[in-house]
Amino acid sequence: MNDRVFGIFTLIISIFYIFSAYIVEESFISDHIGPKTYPYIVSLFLISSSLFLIFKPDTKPKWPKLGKIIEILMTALILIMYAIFLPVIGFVFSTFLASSFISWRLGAKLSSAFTAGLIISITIFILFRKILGLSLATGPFGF
Amino acid sequence: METLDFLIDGFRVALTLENFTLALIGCILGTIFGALPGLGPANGVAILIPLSFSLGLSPASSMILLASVYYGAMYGGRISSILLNIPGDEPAMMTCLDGYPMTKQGRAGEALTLTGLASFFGAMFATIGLVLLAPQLVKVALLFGPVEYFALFVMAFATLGGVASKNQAKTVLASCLGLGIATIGVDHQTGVPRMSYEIIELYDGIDFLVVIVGLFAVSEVFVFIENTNLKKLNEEKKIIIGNIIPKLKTVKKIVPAMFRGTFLGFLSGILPGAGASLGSFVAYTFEKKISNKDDTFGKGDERGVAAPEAGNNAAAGGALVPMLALGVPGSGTTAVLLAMLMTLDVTPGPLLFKQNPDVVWGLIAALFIGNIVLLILNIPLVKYFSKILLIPSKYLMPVVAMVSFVGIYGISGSSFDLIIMVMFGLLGWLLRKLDIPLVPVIMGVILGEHMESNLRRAMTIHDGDWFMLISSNVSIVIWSITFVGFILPFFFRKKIKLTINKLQK
Repeated sequence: MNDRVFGIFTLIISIFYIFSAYIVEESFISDHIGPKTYPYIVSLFLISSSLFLIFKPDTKPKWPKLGKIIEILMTALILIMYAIFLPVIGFVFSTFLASSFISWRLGAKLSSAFTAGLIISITIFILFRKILGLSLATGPFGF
Repeated sequence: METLDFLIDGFRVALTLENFTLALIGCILGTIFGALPGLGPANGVAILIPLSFSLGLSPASSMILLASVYYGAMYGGRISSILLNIPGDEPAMMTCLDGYPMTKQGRAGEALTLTGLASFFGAMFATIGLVLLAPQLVKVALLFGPVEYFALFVMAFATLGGVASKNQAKTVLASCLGLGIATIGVDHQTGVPRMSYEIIELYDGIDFLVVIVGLFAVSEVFVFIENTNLKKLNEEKKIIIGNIIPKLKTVKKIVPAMFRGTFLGFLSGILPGAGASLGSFVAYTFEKKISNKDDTFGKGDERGVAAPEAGNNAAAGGALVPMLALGVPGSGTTAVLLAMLMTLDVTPGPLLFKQNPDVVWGLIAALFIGNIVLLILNIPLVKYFSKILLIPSKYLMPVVAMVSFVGIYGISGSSFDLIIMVMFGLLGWLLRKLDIPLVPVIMGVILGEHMESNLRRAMTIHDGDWFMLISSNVSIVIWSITFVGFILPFFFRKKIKLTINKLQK
């Protein structure tokens, strides 16, 4: 049943994809088949496999409870916030917060999660920035 | 012997201090990635690509590092199969069947040593096979034009599910998702933007490293969060290895099994759509068929661990043959290795042997050296690696996640890429839940551009005549394999499923 939902989703995606290919403005010099043909071919296969999923779905997967799904989405949100705030507040601070959160959600006690987060962020900073010379995000404090 | 000269040059590349150190680090990291359940070879290589890129390593050095990780993971996978009955990565699944019973009998150390030997044997043989076979395949491949290449790419996708594929429609769907993502951005042939909706960040397309790390590494974090059961956390794992030196008689007993496993594994490695998992599966089932006279298999028979381990290591080496010689990978991890080369502007395929002999032969030499290092790491030092299994995932997964972010940020320094990566992490989790394979998505993203440009070049050469795609004999052969490879799973699937179910009982 869930395959069916996903199949409908990819079907919509493929129609959107065909439309996106259709509106590509071709340049005045072009090769023989141009930039549109190949996306059309790909979407042909995408549509047929989506239809296959809709009409011949596998057995339903075992979904986690709603609480877990919210937790996963929360983690994703935290990671997105991490991506946004990384250049704003700097690597060490943001990594400390993000890795503590993950550690906590994977079952560590709050205190040990914060310790782990601190160790992880400082170790990565020293190893990758100071020893290997990688460019990490620098915030207002320079780390 | 031209090959021998090249190989000697290769050893010169591999034995510089920098490259040897990288090989050593790669072997250690690879064994760790392989040993930890949930972190497979493709995953490990994917996390390291952006790092080696940001560190500015040369193509040869990067390949040496990553290929050592690849080989190392094949060794490491067996450790948790044997000790905990949890396969460290997919190819190590078959090793559980006789490995864990050996542990229960208190022979864990012996099992680890024997599988270490078998891994060494399989990998060594496969690397020699690679040296002999790849240059021959290159000679053939040099005759290929865009028509043949396009057919080869289609073949790689059609056979990707392998004969054990669960649902071909899902493999096709996954491939198309990847191929579709690859078309986002400015079209390389005509310079017009496609599918980018005037979003500046999308004009360059979505970097395949972002997709790879997102789908593999970030989704793994979500999988772990899903499976964390707060009540079960206090259960303690115990690891007792015991005596690691087997009797000479036992070693003699497994030699024929290693030979058979290696041969079958190498073969399934080279063939399109097979890969290491199938290699160990075929090796185990075949070994069981001919050696299970006293019904000892599944109850801790030494041959039952040696055959699949020799098989999966040989398959790993075999899978490098089409990847290096043709530039068309047949498995997830080799596709990721190929992505590494493309990131460094090295054109994979037959010309690689001419234009960058240092990369190819340095890599091959590093594999020989790596194998010896791995043998030492995996037999006398195995007890230290098994300790790694005791690190709880609550401390490990944040490290994996953060290192993934560091790598991707190091390349582009853009928050946009990181956000896209998290999105792909969620997508990866969803696809895993729905049992849609991730590897075709990755392959699609990596190979999409090459596949399209070969098709378009072919059409330009032949004036848009689509029938020219089946004009040459070579292309007809490739299309036939493609067709058979795609149809075959419909017949084999049930049989393989039954065998696996029977074995697991």
